[in-house]
Amino acid sequence: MRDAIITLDGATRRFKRGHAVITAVDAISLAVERGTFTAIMGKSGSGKSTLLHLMSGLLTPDAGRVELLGNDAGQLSDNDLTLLRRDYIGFIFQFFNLLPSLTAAENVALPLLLARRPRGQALSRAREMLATMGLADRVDHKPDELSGGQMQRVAIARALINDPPLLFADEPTGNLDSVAGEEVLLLLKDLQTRQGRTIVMVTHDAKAAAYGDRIITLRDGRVQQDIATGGVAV
Amino acid sequence: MNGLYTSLSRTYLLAKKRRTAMTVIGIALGVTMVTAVALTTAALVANYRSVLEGIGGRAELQVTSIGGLGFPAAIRDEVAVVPGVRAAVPAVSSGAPVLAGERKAAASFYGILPDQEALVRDYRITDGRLPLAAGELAITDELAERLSAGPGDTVQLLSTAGFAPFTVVGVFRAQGTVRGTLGPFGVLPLAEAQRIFGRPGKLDTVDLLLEPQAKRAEVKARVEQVLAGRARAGTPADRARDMDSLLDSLIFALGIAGSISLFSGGFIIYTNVGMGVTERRRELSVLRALGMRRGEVVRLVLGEAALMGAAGAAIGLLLGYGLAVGMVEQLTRQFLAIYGIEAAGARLGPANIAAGLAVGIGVAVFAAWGPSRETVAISPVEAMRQGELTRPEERHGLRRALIGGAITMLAGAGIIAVWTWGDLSSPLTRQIGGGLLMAFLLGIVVLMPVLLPLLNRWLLRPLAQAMFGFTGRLATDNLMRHPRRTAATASALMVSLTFMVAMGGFAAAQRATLEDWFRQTVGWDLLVSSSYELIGAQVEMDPAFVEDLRAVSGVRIASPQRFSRIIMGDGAPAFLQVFDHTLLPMYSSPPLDQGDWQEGVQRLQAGGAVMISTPLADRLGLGMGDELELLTPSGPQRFRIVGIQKELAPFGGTVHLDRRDYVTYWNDQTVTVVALVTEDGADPAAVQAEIMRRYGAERNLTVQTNQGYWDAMMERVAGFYRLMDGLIWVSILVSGLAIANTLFSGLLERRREFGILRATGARRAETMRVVVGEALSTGAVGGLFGLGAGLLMFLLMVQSSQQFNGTAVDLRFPWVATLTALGVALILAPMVGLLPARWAARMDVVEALRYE
Repeated sequence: MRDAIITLDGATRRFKRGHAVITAVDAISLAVERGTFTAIMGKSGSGKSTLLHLMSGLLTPDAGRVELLGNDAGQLSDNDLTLLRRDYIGFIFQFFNLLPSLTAAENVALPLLLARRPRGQALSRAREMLATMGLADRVDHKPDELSGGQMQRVAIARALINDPPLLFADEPTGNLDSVAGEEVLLLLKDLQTRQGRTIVMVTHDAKAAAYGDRIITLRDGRVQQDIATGGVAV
Repeated sequence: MNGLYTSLSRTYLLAKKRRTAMTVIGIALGVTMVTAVALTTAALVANYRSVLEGIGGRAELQVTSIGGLGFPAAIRDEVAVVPGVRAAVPAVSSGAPVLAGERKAAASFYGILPDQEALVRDYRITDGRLPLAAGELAITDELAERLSAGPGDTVQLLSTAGFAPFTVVGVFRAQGTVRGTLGPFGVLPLAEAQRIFGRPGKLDTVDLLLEPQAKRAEVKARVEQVLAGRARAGTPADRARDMDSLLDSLIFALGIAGSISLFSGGFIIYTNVGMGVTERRRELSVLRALGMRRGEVVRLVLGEAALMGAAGAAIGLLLGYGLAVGMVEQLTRQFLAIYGIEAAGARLGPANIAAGLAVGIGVAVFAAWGPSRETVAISPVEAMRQGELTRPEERHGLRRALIGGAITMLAGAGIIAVWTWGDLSSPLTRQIGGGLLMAFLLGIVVLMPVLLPLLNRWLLRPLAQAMFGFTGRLATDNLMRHPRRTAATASALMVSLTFMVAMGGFAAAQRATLEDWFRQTVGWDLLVSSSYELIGAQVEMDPAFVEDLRAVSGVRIASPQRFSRIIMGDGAPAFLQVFDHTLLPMYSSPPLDQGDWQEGVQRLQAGGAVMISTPLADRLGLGMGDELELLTPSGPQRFRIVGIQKELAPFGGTVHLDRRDYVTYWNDQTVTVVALVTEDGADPAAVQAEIMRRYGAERNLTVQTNQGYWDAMMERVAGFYRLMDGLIWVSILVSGLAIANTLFSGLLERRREFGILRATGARRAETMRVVVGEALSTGAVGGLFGLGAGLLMFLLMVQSSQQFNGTAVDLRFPWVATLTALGVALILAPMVGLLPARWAARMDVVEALRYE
């Protein structure tokens, strides 16, 4: 049994929508173990993105507890949570979320630059990362000069620049064609199996979820199903 | 369909309250300034014209003095017999303080012949009758109310020999073709007015009524022949010319200040409306996809802009009216009273309302036109695609550079041409110069988006990176994504700062120049005048009083001085200064631009000589040793020019004359002020107190110390600049709003980017730094261009100060104005950025990441 990198204990998160209060995540308890690939599935509005945000420290719980990398996320200050994200967590988003004014290399180097690492060093590391993603010839391109698949690979490189043990991916293939989507999923799987990183991915696509070795299905903010699949072979 | 429009617009405008409010405020501020300036200008002009028309009554021609000095009364009999003249009605006028018990007022008084007066004017007597005998006076109902006096009461009227008692015999309405200016006035028998105002045997005006068949031009020519330069003939409206140049300068300055604010307000509107349209591109595209035609989308957007424009204009009209009321009062009190003009309240008429609405709605619709066309030009499918929501900016860099460069260069060349060869004392030339200046700034505005990337590469980015590290660089890069929007925002600040540097620098240079001149020239310890503080109602003093003052213990020199506006041979006014040159050199040695003071004084004492100021010499094309012809009540006289002086007051030129010549040719012994030099060891304050004790109440005296006089003079100068400063700070406020507005709009647009930054590890402080960095960079761009243009304008103003406002100003680097402008650019701008920065830092990261 490997140790847990994330533990949720009765974690609850509510939102106000107009006058109504919606419980997006309803007293979920679970643990994510180091080096695993967890896929979170569910219909639209099931609470899967909110769960991801709670697990990653982008949101804090209204009730219950989230332990992230050994820290009680609810007790950390905004600054400490920010630093935790910057140094130990990588994010991959559906819409890539690259800054349009920066080049591919600068986008990748963003976490290092924010951590005030020397610019030259940060950019050279970013170039290396991009090269491993097969984007060596795109380092100086701006996002609007890249294809969807390329943009997502840049986003993955950015997520990895700090060599984080934990990666969160929110619908990483949602905006890609099937070929590019599969490339990204294989890359994620590779990061788990070869590099031992922990991956938590939100998706509504069962084929994508099959890359995980555990699939958690949500319904109305609660865990409906939590099964270990072993994942697809790579 | 209309129901749909209304519903869509209402939903959008209410959902985007902040942006709607900002747009409305931007429009309101612009309209406020334009309305305030228009109403103030109209009030000044209308008052002045109505004063002239009131004075004129039914007179078709008017004989007036060639200064405020009167002309021989015999002239009236001479013109009365000119063929074509049916009647010649004489009058004498003066402003004077009047007392009734404890109550005191300043008013204008007219000496009239009641039986003849009825020919040219109607008096609506409400109580009593017109004055007929010595010691009788009739006053307007307004003055009666102020003094709380009516028929039978005795009032004290200041004469050249002190207060004199008069009995009020009548009260009349100040309406119709009565004599008088706006404000309170009274009439008394002509002979009495001549006696008490020091005009024995003299008149100030003769109103002429013509025979029915007579041609005005012909009669005027015949009258002028008779006058032979001792007085002038003209229509009542001709007198407007004297004051027109003064009003023109004022109106010009007001107009420039109003344009700056409209300029800045225009940018806010442009940015907001433009961004609003961009933000709604998807919604508008859905409408297009569902069947709304291009024209209908454009109409929807323009309709919303017009709605915001109308709301802003309504607020602006109200605020503008309030501001105009304040400005008119301030102008009257601080500035125009010196010239005897009193402006009544500002009035908001239908034409102003229409103009305000047209400006507000027009600018808003104009700003929305481009973006709305751009939106409908893109296919709905393209616009509905997920992605960045920013408006693609045009890529016509070369075309823009060419157009901007051409405007800047042409306007620049025009400015140099006007300043080098133009006659800046002419209002038309000044208006052209002002227009060129605005065109020059507009050229820079057009050019700025092209210059920005260069500026960013060489200055902004390195600077921001050095100051804020990576976040600073991110800030400048963000700005460069929308050079046109950044340029528009920075331009608003640039225009305000240009005028801040130029006007502030000029005011400081003028003050310093005046101070130098004052220290060198004004050697007296005390200055005595009657009713000095009621400057519009000053009464001359009789010469015997000078001897009385000389006899006061502690007084070493009592030097009489006489000042008056006169009309020169070219028909334009000048300022006559008369001194006793046996006394003047004992306490003053003013610097001369040409000639030697000591030698000049000797020549003046000998008679037949004058010194004139440099602007007058330039205006008349005269130099040292030339002869100057002065129109005197004894006819034209020629004087040798023995010195050319610096000009420090906006009188359009001064003539410096010896008292003996003045008494001889003007036949006038009265004194405007008496300069006193105290004995060594005597305390000027004690002497001042003694004079006030002996004569203060009797003669309504004001005795000013050297320092007091300087302070009062500075206060008058400052009064004008305070108004300008106020207008400039309003425009700075508008540009500050423009910066905050652009930042807010930019943040809304890039909300997701800030979410990414926060998600990838930017702390709140770092997020704030990005936004403050954007504000600082915008401020730096505006400051840089504003400082450059401002210094250029300052230089032009100083160089042309002599023609521009009749005062030669020495060139001094405007440190204070420059540092203030830099402060505004580099401190105020980031401060303005703090609010949006806090908002950005507190943004919900998850919400921001979801933001489309």
